[in-house]
This record gives sequence, structure tokens and C-alpha cells, in this order.
Amino acid sequence: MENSIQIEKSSHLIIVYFYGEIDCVNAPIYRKQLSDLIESSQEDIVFDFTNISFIDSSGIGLVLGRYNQLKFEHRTLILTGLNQVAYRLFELTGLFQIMPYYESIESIKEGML
Amino acid sequence: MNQMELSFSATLDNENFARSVAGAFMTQLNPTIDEVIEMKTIVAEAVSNAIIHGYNHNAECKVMMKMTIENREVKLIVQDFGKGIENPEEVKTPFYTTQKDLEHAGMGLTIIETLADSLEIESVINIGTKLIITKSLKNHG
Repeated sequence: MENSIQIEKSSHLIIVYFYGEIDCVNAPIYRKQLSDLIESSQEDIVFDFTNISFIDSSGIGLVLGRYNQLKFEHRTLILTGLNQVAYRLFELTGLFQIMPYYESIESIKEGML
Repeated sequence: MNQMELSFSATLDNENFARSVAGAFMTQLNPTIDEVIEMKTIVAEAVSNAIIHGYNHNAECKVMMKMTIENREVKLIVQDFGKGIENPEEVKTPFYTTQKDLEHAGMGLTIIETLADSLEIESVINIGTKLIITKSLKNHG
């Protein structure tokens, strides 16, 4: 699967779908794209990793960086769709203590209703 | 015992190559998908550390990766001949980073320690750094 991100905007939420792998080569590219997205919007943001087959510490750095950027504006970053190994790594980093994790996009949308 | 050795230029473009080779080499052990992802993540962290911290992205330098399979144990060695680490124990501390501005989480070695069975760091200033990692795969049926 090609490495890419896809952005879906709804009325009060922006969903970022990640595809392929997040590593030290493409994390800096996504960092720029997502920083620009955050700067040009006001909504809370969801990162969906359902279609990600690989993520390492550069991906964790990417998530932490965007969390800090959003937190500064009192906005929320929500995570979903991590595979088992990635979930363990995110847990280890303590990310779930500072940002919410949902099993699926559907459960996030239900929570918003 | 089965062994392979790989030497490649210290550019981050080769990190994907290195982890793919590691994943392919271990398929002979019939690993689970999670075990392959874990090994690839270990390789990604070790190799990117060598390129970024050992060599400061100098692509003229070479990273060496060696994998040995014996029974169901994988031994991985990732070595650079770069600047070395002053205090190898200190760098294992979670969130330890020398490059905060670049959004490095400082979790690379903690991740390796979590996913592997053992991690040993041998490092000498201006000689280089060698990570010795072992990971045993489960027996599945």
C-alpha cells in the first residue's frame, strides 16, 4: 500500500486517514502537512491508523508533536485503529494518558452524537 | 545456524530496506505477523539511531547489520563506526533525546528493550556503537 494520508472534514471533526507505513522518511513529510492542516482549521482531529502496517518512534514523535500543537489551542487529538504491536508502543510511551483512544471511527462518531 | 550480513550507506532511505531484509530473513522461522512487525520495528529504531546519531546523516558512511538465527532465537547486530555514545546506559532512559527540536520521541531504545528479549550497547567515542539484540520467537503448533 502506498504511503499517504487522506483528510476528511466534517462539521466539527477532521479525520486524518494514514495509509501504508509511517517511518523516519515520511513522518517529517506528514509533520509539515498536518501542521499546516492544524494551523488552517479549528476542529478537533482524529488520527486513524487502521490502514497502517508499520509505525515506529518517528510516528510516535509525529503524534506527540501534533498533540502539543493542538493542546496549545485547547483542541483534542483522538487516536484510533492501531494494530496490536503499535498499540503496545503507544501505551509504553504514555500517549493514552494524555489523549483518548477509540476502537474505531464509528465509536468516535457515536461518542460525538 | 543461519546467518546474513548487510552493509549499506547511512541514509534514512535505506532504513526501510534494512527492515524489509530483516523481515524476509526471519520468514524461515514461520513467525507470526506480530513477530515480524516487532522485529522490523526493532531494526527501524536501531538503524535510524545509527544513521542519525552515529553518523549525523553522512551517507558516505556505512551501517552494518548482521542477523543470526539459531533454533528460534534471532540475534541482531546493528553497528556504526561513527561518533559513539559517552554513556550507553543513560541513552536507554525513556524520553532521552539529543534532538528535541526534531520531534524525536526519545523512545527508540526503550521500544527495542520492550520488543526484544535483550539489548546490549557497546560504544566507544569516535570508534562507533554496536547494538546487540536478541529475540526468541514462540513455537506455534
